[in-house]
Amino acid sequence: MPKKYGMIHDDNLCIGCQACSIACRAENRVPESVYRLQVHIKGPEQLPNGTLKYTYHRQSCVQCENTPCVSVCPTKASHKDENGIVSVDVDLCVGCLYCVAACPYQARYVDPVTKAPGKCDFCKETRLGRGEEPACVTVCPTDALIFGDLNDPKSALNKVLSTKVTMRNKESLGTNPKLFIVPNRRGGIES
Amino acid sequence: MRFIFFLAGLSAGAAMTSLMVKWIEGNNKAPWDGLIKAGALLAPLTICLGLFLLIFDLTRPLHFWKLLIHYNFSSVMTLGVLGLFIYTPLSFIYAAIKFKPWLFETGPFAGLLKPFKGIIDSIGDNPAWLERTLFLFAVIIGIYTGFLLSAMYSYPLFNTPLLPILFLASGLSSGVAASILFGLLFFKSEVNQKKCQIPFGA
Ligand code: SF4
Ligand code: SF4
Repeated sequence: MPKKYGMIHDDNLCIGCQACSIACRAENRVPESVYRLQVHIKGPEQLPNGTLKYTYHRQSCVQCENTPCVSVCPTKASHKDENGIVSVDVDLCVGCLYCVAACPYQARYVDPVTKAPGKCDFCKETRLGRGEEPACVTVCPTDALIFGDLNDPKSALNKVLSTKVTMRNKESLGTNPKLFIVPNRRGGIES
Repeated sequence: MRFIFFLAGLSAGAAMTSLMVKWIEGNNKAPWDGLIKAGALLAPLTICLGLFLLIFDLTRPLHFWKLLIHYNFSSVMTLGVLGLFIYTPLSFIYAAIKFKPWLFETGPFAGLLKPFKGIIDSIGDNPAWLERTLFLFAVIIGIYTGFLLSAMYSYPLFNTPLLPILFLASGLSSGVAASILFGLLFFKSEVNQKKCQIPFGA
């Protein structure tokens, strides 16, 4: 059975250290002027008891199941593989940047060298083939990131999905993302 | 992107103007003939200019030919490319019929173009099938740019079914305006020669 790779970002465990974004840059040789992954930090917000709260947002591709970027691409350069990972075949790309505009998560950038769009591909080309987890997941010091196969009921990913409250961004658009977020347990949730 | 939207709309609008005037008023009737000719000439010229600019709008212009041989039928852009495959040659043939004497007899390229005269002749002077298909594809090209934008639902402003209609209307109005201007600039003498009743411009 093909895999269906997904990921969880736990806002309660994340400390905004950016280890993941640096690991991503190093592993995938992402040029300096662009990024595949950043953690955007919001806050601080003061809670009623005087303590401070930060919110962390993983700014990267959410690996949509219904992919706007793939359906608009005129040459099928943007494609979703059998394991559900969305990536760009640079050789086929003409650089119309339709996909960059169509992505509702602003997850794509234009590579300054190839001039084709680039994006997170769960380290498909680099680590997954070797049986390793994506770079960001490996380096996270608090285990805020969990990677796994949604089709495998016993995966660590599914275990968390079955025991914790999770949400996905911009679900109203019908993109069906495979990045799940465990929202901050403290303070109010902005919906 | 910006220019192709405008020029494709203008081209489609000019083709529609030319055809509608022709259907309503008929050929060789001043002052309408100038308008028909201007539209027939504008349609292929502006679409070519637009496509040319489009290629340089790509971040990888040297790879543009991949757009012509790889298709994704869920992409509005692919559908547009296929539409242009039909629209562009048709607009050229339509213009060639309108300018037959100049192209093949009096113009500077008459010698070069002689071999093609037979093909244009065989189509006839008022081919209904060609005109109707051209009109249909002009409408398709006119709304295509609207669909191109409205497919991006990450922008709530673009994501409306009204957008294609809006683009068609704007293309038609720019096509009419450009045809009138072009007709006045280049086909005015012809209009005067035929001693029109209604003065076409000053
Ligand atoms: S987040 Fe953007 S780039 Fe990633 S799959 Fe969805 S639409 Fe495509
Ligand atoms: S920029 Fe490349 S990958 Fe993106 S839609 Fe255009 S051809 Fe496809």
